[in-house]
Amino acid sequence: MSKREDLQQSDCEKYGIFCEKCQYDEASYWERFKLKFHLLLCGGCREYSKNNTHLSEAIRNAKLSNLTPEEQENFKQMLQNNLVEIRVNEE
Amino acid sequence: MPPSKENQIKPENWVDRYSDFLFNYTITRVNNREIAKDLISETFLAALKSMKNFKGEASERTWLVSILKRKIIDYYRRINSKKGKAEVKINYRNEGDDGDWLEQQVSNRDGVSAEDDLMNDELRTTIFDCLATLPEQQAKVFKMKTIDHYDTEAICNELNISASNLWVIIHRARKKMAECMQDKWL
Repeated sequence: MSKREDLQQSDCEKYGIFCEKCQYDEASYWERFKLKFHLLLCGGCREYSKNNTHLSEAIRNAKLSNLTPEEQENFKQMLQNNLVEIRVNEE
Repeated sequence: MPPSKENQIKPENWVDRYSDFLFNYTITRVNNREIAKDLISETFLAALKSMKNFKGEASERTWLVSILKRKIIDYYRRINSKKGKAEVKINYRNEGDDGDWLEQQVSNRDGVSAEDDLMNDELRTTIFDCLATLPEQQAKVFKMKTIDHYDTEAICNELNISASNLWVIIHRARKKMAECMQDKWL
């Protein structure tokens, strides 16, 4: 990889992170401004930014809600207890 | 035929691998967190009891979902038999079709069409399949930030990472998620 491509890649990495912050509404004014300017120049980042927004929409549409770590722990306990019981009965 | 290696039953991994998937599957159908959790408990218990019957023809998750589906239908049967017959008849005019109506209610509540449900099911399945391809920490941070909507600061404190570290992880996770979901959903 040439030095220039290398530089460009690390640059896009930086703007990629600005783009993530925008998705969660946590980018500063300057970050948003710099990203917008970069998107004018860079087709790769433009494409990524578009997909990234679609990803956010898809996840919003899926209306996911997860179990809390405590709830998961309770399930694990319950499974563990019953598994022990079943194995004891088998023996 | 003995179960192939990837289709073996491992109850120790069920919670980490499938509980979020099963929970989302259930909560869209029963609309109540506590009931959803109860149904998943029942499913896990029933699965433990019938582990020996698992033939390894389907994936472990498909098998668990098939048990869960029966539990959800049972749940609807239970609440509908509690409601009293008069109400049932008002809701459902064709007395001859008794056999079908419970299942119809399961898929047709609140004007949500079965088609929407199906599409959302597929979308959720894709999301969870893609999440499963991420390294553990990326998946964890992504879920906390995107699904549970934790603050950046809270995640950093809990996982003991810096904010810039968090954004790098998020970026890697989202890049892979976008790639994984691109063909079908983006």
